[in-house]
Amino acid sequence: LFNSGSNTGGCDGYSGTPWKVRNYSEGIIGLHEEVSDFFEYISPRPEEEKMRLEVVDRIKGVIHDLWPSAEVQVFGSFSTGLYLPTSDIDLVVFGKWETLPLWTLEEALRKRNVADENSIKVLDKATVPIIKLTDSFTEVKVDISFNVKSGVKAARLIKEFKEKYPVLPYLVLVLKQFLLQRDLNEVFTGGIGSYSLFLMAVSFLQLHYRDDVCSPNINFGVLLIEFFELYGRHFNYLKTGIRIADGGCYVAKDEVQKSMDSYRPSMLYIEDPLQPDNDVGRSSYGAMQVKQAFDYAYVVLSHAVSPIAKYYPNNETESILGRIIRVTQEVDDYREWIRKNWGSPSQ
Amino acid sequence: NSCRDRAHWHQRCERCFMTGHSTNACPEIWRQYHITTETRTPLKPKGKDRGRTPAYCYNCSRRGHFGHVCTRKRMFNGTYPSTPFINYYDTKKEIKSRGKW
Ligand SMILES: [Zn+2]
Ligand SMILES: [Zn+2]
Repeated sequence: LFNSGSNTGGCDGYSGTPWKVRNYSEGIIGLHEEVSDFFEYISPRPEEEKMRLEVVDRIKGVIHDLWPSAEVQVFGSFSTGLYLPTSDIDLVVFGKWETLPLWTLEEALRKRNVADENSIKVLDKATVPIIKLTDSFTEVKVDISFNVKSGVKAARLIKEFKEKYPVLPYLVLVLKQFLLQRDLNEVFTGGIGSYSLFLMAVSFLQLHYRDDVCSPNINFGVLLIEFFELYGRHFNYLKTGIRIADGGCYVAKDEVQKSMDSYRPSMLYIEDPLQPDNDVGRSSYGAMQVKQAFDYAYVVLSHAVSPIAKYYPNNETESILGRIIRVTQEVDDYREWIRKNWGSPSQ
Repeated sequence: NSCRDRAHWHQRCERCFMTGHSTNACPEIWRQYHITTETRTPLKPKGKDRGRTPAYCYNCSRRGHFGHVCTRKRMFNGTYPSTPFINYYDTKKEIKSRGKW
């Protein structure tokens, strides 16, 4: 519902760039300023966290009424803080059952009106069976899985890398928004998962040629274009795979195949740092579409910051970042609604 | 069309000496600001940056060289690598002569 799409113009002059609160410097310095403002704008606000915690508590309540000793944990982007206003909440329930109580929980959630009748789905045939629902009050989407530890571990790893590379959140939120509005942010719509995207960004920083990626005065705009340059142009998806463990390196895909009993590595091969025999990029059939989109972004941004572009100055409305990402009015309105309902009175 | 493509191939940048783009479109023009975040002449890093060691190649996946110098076949013909290092940082005067940039 609140998904972004092509509807970014709006007849009342909505620009699609609500992060733009000032005029930016020219070229790459301007792009740096803008990435910084986008991050400020899109980052979770206190009231959004509050609202999401309420959703989690509502669902926890239903679960604990059914199984008082079950443990519920949040993982995924809501636990790492790297979420967009419309991102899902990921929950995992730990308990002792003979068969996973998917339908029992589904029924309880419906009876207690946590989720609308037609917004709740049980995917019991999936590799990881889950319940998908949309919270009826807040429209937040929630995925609930059972007894799976990997997500919680991954969230811990993501937090560690966030500490190590302060620039990561800036890159990742721009990239998530970029993929979201092109429907490339999920494996089943022909894109890549957010864990894959995150690990690509980590590898990009780990193996960066210049040693300055941790420097406090690093230019976000340069790094963003270089990310698009690497994965849109130069990275050889046929030959090369990504390894994050032990400081990171590239691995030859044909050697991976030899060592893994003829398992054919996926187009986007990423060795899971938490479980080396797991290919995070597996089933990312849309990897080449993602590559194409990154290449497009490289062309657009590198041109927009070049001196050639200065012949078309239009600083009042000009947004370099707005050439590759837009936030829909729906999303901006949704956030306003959250502010009204969950924001503290002083705001 | 093919004539234009050929012209494009033969372009060799006088700034970074790589093939595939003109001097005006050199990625180094924006890359030189990698540690500069406000409008001013680009800051140079202290000491010469020889790059990360060991180097890994994004093209053939091997260790010991960076992707832009790799001699193996690229995934797509007609893509030209660009150097990730800054060959030259512009002076104030040079930036002025290009306009505000
Ligand atoms: Zn050049
Ligand atoms: Zn190579």
